[in-house]
Amino acid sequence: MADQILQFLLTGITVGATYALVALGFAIIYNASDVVNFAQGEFVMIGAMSAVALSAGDGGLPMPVALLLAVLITVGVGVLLQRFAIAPARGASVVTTIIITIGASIFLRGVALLVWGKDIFALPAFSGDAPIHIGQATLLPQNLWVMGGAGLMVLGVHWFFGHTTIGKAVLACSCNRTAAHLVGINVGLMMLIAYGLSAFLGAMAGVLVAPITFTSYDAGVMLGLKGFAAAILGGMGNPMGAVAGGLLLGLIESLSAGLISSGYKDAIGFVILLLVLFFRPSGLFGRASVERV
Amino acid sequence: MTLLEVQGLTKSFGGVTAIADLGFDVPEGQVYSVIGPNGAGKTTLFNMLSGIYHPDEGSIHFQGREIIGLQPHKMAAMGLSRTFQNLQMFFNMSVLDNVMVGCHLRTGSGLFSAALRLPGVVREEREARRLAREALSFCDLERFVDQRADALPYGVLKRLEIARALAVGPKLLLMDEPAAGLNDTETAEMQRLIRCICERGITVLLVEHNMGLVMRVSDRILVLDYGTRLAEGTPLEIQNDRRVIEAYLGGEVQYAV
Ligand SMILES: Nc1ncnc2c1ncn2[C@@H]1O[C@H](COP(=O)(O)OP(=O)(O)OP(=O)(O)O)[C@@H](O)[C@H]1O
Ligand SMILES: [Mg+2]
Repeated sequence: MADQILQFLLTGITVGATYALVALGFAIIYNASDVVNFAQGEFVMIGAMSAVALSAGDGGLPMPVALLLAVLITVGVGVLLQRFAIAPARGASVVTTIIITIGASIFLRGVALLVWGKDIFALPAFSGDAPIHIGQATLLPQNLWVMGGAGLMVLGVHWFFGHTTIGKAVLACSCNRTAAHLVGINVGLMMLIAYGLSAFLGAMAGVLVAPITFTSYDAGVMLGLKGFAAAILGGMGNPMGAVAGGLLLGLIESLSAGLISSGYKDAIGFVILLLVLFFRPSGLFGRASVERV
Repeated sequence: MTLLEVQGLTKSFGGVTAIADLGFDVPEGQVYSVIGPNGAGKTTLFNMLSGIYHPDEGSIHFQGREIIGLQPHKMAAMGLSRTFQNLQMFFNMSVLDNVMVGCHLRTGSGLFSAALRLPGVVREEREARRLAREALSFCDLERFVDQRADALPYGVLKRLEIARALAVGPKLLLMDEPAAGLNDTETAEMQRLIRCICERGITVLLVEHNMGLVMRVSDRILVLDYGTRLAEGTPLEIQNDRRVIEAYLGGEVQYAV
């Protein structure tokens, strides 16, 4: 039993690390502009699908190059999305902007369907498939890549917002856009950075997890929803809370799938989300917002 | 030398003309005050000078360059900085971070070169920290460095906003009612701070309702009434201007006689 639990925990952390990256992407854009970017899941899909496309077949690029390009392509998509879909709607209400992101996600999924079709693809594991045994539990090398990669990303983001002037400038835009503009911050550029960074995190999640979960043109839908749920769970306004929410959601799902029934794992995750929203609307780690008047 | 040159400036909101055909020159190195009754258009003037509002007509030359149409962050980069009548702080950040964000322009030389070279980012951060601490100590705020902005009393926030504006490295600082809501001690401190800023070579454009403060601190004063120029001159000239006394100080003068 203990070994089984260990196995569930390891799986949960791997899945949770993916959710955490997606949730972090949500939280960054939300923090910078109050917008929930529902195209976040598509970043994950585009990252994974372009990595597959670039590395597949005889003429395929070597894996590291393909991964790098896939991530860059996704960042490009994120920046273009901001520049040509979000920025022109500046001054529109937050709800309008969110609807634009939903439209963008449908559009991106449509393009992926046209380019890659409906097939399901797998990316080869980065460093082999030889399982690692921990007691009775097993772990694939790719699980370590996911955990390690996600851990590094999270630390990097934490450092970016806490210890670089650009990171602080992005935060300043979220807090008071006019004041930010007047102390010389190029608000438009900061929004591009926020979307680029979120797309980067999404793409990293996509390429890290694609060898384990496979990918297809619509793989971003469920991951986007789970990432969103995780961000809400942890507290949308708090990036590190979103990360914790992601890990928590992954663990809850894995444990409930193992101990109760895998048929209920998605449902249990969402029920817990609803409970949290009911009792702590600002999320587990969000601070209740206080407007100063 | 003239630092700021305003000509024929006009701005209406629907039927209300907030500023009408206004012109004035701000000489470099002085404290230049704009006074006028509530609704005279002082804040509207500031909002045009800092690029938040676009004037209907007129021109604004800063160091000889037309600045109308520039985005606010471009104006800040040219050396135009401001504080607000209603505090506009980054309340979710620490005092130090609030001011460091103001240094962003001066240290963030090449954004992308910095983003690609880690040492560059670290150096930039260190430099911003140094500049921010300097601005904070200038405004006598060292004690509060690590506190969150939303935990501070109003008088401290007023000075914090000034520290942030100074961190931008301005040539011209626009201050909208810096003494509003301050007690007498704090007002005296504010007066001293304004003079210190001016002595640093930063030209100050001041909007303030506290007449005592304005008269003591200003080199020149512009009096606005319904968005137009009523009078302009030294504090002594303004105090003795018949039109100003009638329009602005009217009630008080009658009682005093
Ligand atoms: N955004 C706006 N929309 C509509 N009317 C405005 C706007 N901003 C200012 N006004 C109007 O323009 C006029 C001038 O306002 P402004 O705020 O510039 O005055 P002020 O001199 O700063 O007054 P106070 O001393 O009370 O701060 C007022 O009649 C005001 O109602
Ligand atoms: Mg005003």
